[in-house]
Amino acid sequence: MTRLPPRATERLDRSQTVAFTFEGRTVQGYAGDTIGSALYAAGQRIFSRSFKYHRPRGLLCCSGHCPNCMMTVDDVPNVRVCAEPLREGAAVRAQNVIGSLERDLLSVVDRVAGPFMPPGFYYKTFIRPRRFWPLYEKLLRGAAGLGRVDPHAERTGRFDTEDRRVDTLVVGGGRDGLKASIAAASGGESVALVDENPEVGGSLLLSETGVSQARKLCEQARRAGVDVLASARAIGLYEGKLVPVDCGELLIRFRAERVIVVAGTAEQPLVFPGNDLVGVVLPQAARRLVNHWAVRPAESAVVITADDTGLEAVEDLQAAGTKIVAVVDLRQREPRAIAARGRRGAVTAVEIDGQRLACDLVVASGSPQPNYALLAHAGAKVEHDPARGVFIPTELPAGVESVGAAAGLIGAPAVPAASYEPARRRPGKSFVCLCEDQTTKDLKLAINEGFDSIELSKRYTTVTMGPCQGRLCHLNSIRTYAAETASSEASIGTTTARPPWAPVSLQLLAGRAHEPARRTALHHRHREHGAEMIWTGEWRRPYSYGDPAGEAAVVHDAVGLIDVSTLGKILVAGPEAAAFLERIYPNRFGNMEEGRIRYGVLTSDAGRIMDDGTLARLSPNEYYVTTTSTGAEGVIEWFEWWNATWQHDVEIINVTSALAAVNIAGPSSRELLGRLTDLDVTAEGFRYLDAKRAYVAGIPSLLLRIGFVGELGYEVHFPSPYAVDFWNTVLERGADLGVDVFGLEAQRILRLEKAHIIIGQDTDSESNLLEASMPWILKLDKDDFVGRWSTEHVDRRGLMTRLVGFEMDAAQLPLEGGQIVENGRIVGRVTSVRRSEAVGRTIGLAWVPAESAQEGAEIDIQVDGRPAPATVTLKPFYDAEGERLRA
Amino acid sequence: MTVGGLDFLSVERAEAAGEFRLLARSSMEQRQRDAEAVFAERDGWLTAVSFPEETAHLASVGIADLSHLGKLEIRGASQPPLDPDVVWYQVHPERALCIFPPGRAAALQQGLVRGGAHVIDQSAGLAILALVGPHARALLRRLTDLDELPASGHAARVRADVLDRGSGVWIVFGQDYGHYLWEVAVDAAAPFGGGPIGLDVLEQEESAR
Repeated sequence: MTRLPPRATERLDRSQTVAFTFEGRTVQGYAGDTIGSALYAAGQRIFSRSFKYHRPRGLLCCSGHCPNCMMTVDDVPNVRVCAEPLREGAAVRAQNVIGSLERDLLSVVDRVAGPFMPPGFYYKTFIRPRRFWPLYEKLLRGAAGLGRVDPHAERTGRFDTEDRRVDTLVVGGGRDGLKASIAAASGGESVALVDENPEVGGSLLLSETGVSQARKLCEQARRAGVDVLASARAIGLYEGKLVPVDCGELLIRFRAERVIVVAGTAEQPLVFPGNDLVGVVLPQAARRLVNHWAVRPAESAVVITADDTGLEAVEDLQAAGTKIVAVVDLRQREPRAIAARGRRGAVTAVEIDGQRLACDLVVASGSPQPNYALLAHAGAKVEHDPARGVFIPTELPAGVESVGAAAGLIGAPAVPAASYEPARRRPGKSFVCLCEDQTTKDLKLAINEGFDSIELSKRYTTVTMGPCQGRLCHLNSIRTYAAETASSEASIGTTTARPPWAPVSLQLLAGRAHEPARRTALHHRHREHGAEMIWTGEWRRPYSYGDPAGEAAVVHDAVGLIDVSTLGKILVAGPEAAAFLERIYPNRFGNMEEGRIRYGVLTSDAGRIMDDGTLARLSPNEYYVTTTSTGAEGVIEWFEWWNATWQHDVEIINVTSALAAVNIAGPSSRELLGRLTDLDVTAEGFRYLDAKRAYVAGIPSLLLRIGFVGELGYEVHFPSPYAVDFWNTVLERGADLGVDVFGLEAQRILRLEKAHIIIGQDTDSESNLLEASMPWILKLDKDDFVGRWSTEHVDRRGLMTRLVGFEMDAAQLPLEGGQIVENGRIVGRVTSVRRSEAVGRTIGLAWVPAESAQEGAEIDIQVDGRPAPATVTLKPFYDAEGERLRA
Repeated sequence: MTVGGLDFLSVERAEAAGEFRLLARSSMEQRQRDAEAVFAERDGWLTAVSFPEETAHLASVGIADLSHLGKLEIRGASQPPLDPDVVWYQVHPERALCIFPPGRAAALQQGLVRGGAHVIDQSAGLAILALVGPHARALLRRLTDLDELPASGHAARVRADVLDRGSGVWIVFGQDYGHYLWEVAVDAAAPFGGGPIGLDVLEQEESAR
């Protein structure tokens, strides 16, 4: 154990031990530990194997930024254990290894395969023979990479999403962030402060006096009304000042009038041979291990630093009992060459200008780079500061501010060299990008191959595209490019900063699934009847109650009941209602009598069929329009869109939800209806295509005598809260008439017998009225209407195809979408097909060449891969003269 | 008895129904039954008046079904009635939503039509969920990005109007989403310790305020 005596700055609750397993063995830590600190305290030094070369990697940043400590925790891969709070019973496993972290079989890659794995090697050395690529790909994916995602895994927890608005959002809870939030809240603004660490205070928390100062500031902020959120990481700054914040199992989407980014700096590694060895760390890592988790990081250390952070680490290490072998302050002396030496992947010494210093820890720090990424997301300009060797945000967009180190207030650090490799002998790899295992040599090769822009290089070498998202490699890659191309960092520039700023789980982004479902007021009655429910758009509808053919037979022989509440229902009302409908539909409505119904088909301005339904004239200035079940919203938008131009004095009101609708259909429907209403329901009193208003079963209703299913029938529309009572009453009063329910499948059989089309099934986005065999809809003797020109154009050029009925032997059943063939060529397609017991044949609708659209024409339809004969018909298959319908 | 005009949209007009026994039902009824609600008839509606553990829910966030309230959609310029029981939401200058105790649709409609507005009874078409309690706003934030109320937009991806109602908020939406939105709201309330509450405890809460 390397645990130190209790310290004032530690986060541990030593009264509470926490046990977990690591690679199957039990390890203990304290409450307040991270998994990483507990493992380190237990003596674990290798935390991962690198992405490509499988080199041993140990703790580097202890801030949850680098890839070095990624493990699989409770089956969740790629967890940065240095920042993952320790929890009882957690099962922690190494990832991307074959064997163990200490003895990884794939580390052979580092020893022998390095020369064969330059940037983009998979495009160069694994391309022949081409047919083997799937195999190569599988092997490469297996050998490289991060943790394994189980494609069959379930969600591992509950993930919610929350939307919040504040006047000011402060990102970063260090001293400057806390002060900025207090100032804003004191001015009366609503303020939230988010910080990625478990406790706000930033670097203040690394010293005893700083801890008390941080807590005082935090208390002051809370008293001022600031909503302080810790373990809350801002992952991007989007247009409209939208800032998604990852709070673990909650994603908060903040929208703020003002965003203040106080995200501090990211410590930068130095580039030298062996800079990835276990034991080479950044200053914050050493300081956090000592101060937060009371762990002595090592026995002896060498510190090489470009700024004060390294010196602060020296003080903490000394206090922890680590011997400081040497301190190299780059502001005072810059070595020509640095190289870390190691054994079994762990550092044992560092050579500085040839002087060998034995140690088991190297604290190395380049200049601190302001965390400008969020500002850059928002559109801030980022410029190179040659005096300090870092990039500084300038020209912030309106409403976005930056304070403190993130704004560039980082003092005067030294500007480190791009790399400290010895001029001649290179004693090992110098890593620029630890996430992707990219070395200085790799970048130089990329430049020599022509990838001399930093953006191209990023895509080719994948530097900055790994889990750290450039925090630890972006600056060093730019420095390497500048040095190698003999240009300035300013001219190299930065790559485009894009969210997310830090990795975020897909579960969190997905959040709680909201998948709206519309249910009619009779939904649960259908379930009680044993309905099989299906989706039609957002609606849940009964497909059948178990026997579609039997349900269709009830409608032919007695009386059936179907819930058609899903139909779109629109009131078009106002002095110019008739004029509006005349202009938007191709058929005529201005001459309709009050209380009558007409079928209507909507076409687009290109003359294509959009939707259909019925229009009932309720009064001179009021029409009741029905649409298809999935078409209501589209039709209303269409109406409103056109009327925004036409400015007719008309109101378009959606009453779809307000009204339930039930179709009572079959030869006994008149008798059944008569039992429920005082209305005259005789054939003379209530004619086909009449619309009447009356009480039905005590409910004020609108009755439409129409017949989509081809039998005598009535659609009753009434307030939806009474749907259950209505349904029950109809079934009860019609029991002796043999009334029964029928579902969508029976309805599809019945409508097909009448050759009634379904928009979207029998038509597509190219279908027009003429070729869909509905020329009678068109009223070309009226004024202009939507789609007129296009329809006339079709008329002029002649029909190329036609929608027709066909019938064939009942033993044959082509597929919907099946082909019409002629001499082996596909010339058309089937859109609907069913076996009809009433007709005794297989019947359907199909698009055929216009010349085949003749009564009795013979066509061939593919059935099970062979052409089968069918006969074209232009009339309904059942009750062709409509006598039953109009009875 | 005759049905004229747009009476076929009216829930109220079914009152004098004669031989037929009628009860208006909310689209959330089945979910409320699943949650072991106790029901009672009020103003011609079957309403959920209490739920198990509703007091505990109310201490965090309670979800109540107010679908039985009357609702009118008003098109054209109009003035809200001077009535403390009427909730008026001016969606925009030419459009308003009026919510009121059940049984008053016809009278209110007459008054508004006289003022020149086009009025549609949407009592049957709209459902209302009330979120009440200290975490009502927090729950709302998990359902919608609407913040400054009243506002129109979406709740759990369903078109909705959201109104600020003192002790909480009302979400007004098409009744055919009732089953779904009830499910989503109750699910989202669970992490707060919230859940469904009945009309009785809601009314007690309101009168205590």
